[in-house]
Amino acid sequence: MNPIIETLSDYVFWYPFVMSLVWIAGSIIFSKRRDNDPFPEFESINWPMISILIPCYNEEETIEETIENINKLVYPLKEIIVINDGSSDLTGDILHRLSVKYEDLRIIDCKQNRGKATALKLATFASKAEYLICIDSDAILDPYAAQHLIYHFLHKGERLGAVTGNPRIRNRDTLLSKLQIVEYASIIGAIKRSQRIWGKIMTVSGVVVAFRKKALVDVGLWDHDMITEDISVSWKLQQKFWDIRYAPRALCWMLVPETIKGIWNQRIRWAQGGQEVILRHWKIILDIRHRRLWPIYYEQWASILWDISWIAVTAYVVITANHIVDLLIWITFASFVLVFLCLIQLFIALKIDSKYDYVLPFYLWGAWYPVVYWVLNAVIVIFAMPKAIKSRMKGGYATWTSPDRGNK
Amino acid sequence: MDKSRQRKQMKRSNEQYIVKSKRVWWREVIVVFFTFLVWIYCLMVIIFFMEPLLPFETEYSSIFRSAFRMTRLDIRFFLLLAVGVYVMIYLSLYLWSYYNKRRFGSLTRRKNPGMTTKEDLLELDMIDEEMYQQLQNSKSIVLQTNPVRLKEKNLLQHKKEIKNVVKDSI
Repeated sequence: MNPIIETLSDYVFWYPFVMSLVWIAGSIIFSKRRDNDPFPEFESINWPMISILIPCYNEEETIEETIENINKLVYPLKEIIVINDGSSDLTGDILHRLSVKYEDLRIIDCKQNRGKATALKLATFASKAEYLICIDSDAILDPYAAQHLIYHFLHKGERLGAVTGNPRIRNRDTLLSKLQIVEYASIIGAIKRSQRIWGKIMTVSGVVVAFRKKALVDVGLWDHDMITEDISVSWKLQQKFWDIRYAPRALCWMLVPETIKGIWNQRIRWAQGGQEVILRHWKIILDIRHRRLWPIYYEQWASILWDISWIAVTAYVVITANHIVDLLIWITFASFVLVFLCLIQLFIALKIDSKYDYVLPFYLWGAWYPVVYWVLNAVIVIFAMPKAIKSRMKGGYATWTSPDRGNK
Repeated sequence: MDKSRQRKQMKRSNEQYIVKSKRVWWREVIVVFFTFLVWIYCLMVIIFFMEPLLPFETEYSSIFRSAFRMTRLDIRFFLLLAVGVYVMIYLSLYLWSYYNKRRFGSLTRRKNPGMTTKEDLLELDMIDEEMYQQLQNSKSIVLQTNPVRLKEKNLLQHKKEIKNVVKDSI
């Protein structure tokens, strides 16, 4: 075999092997430390006012339910600020009607579409509270989610800039949504738990995150030119030494795409956002004060390199195959090891996450992940690369399109 | 028993958020069938690794072992290596988090940053004071254009600031 391909093959095997063990170990340690924390006594706390910011674009189907739910939250002192970012559907009309109905609801109906980051900026200027909870317009919060998020700021939270919550999936009927349930628990949840053990987090979940306004102002609010404003603001905060925590008890229920096209678009956006951030913030590797961010930064590059390596090795195998048997890349020792390890990781992570949402039975569908689903993610990263580079060169506003909110 | 009751309660409370959609029976059958096939592959993988740890041997596993040119001992050795790497990673992460907790956990190195003022927000130079007041005081406001200014200057300033962060804030 070509020596370069041989080196790449080794990397294709060892990188996921080691990282899978890291995610397993990290999530178990976090789970022992944090998931078993005693439940805080909320009654004795003097809760500060919060502003719940909900930016939306063409959300006529979901926004009413979201506002109704947020209005019912048991948090004592809150305002809800909804920003209509130039929707072309009936979102604006619905918001005007609801603003009369709900006392805590304030609306900003902006006729121009300038993207989520700019909508959030506008809402920050309108907000009266020091703590902001940003949620997506299809998100529904658990009754005590706000308390679980804000508690961190009040408990040894002097240098805390943000607290990210635990997204849960509401639509669970199709294979793709079931796979995403497994993915959110086993891959996204495990990575967040492990990164908290490392000390830094790659990104808050834009669907549910609480910010300290002072920290946001300190970093110049969100970046309007990055496709994923949540990843970008996470890096800005941590670069200015604001901490980010993960609150697994702060549950937020949301809808996920249920078509290949919907997932494709969403993941291209995520991959592009991650790549844009590491391209923009490369200078952290020159600054010793940011050494705690280095593992996260290098891991992002390592992950991209793995995708490229996997594509290269697979292409080589396909081109040089002499027999049909040579093409059976799933029937190799390396594949067997990675599949076995992935099944272990999925089981442990689902077990940990089942403490909040009983998702363990979805392990039944988890078998698709090591066999097929991850290929989609690997290919997406490659497709996102030119977009990220182009976007870094071009700049401008990162506006949004109506996301896929699953089958109706 | 207690855990099972808790789980049932949690399931009941979470169920209110779950969205049900129309399911087509033949599509479900296809999905279940293919999931079954995928599990056959996964079970093959699981048996391949578990069998060398058990006191018996199956013909099926030996086919894969000979295809991979491996013995039962090789697989046992590999599993041992994996456990070794895992223990090393676990200990490193555990000691790292323990060190952080002991070294920094009790320190309060930053005062409570206090509340954000109107001046702090206006200093960002993204909107003017009049618009700020309107946004602050309105329950419902309609804007033809988004008043937040795009200022590349702000980004440049932010980059400069990052370089100049006071050392004692680390």
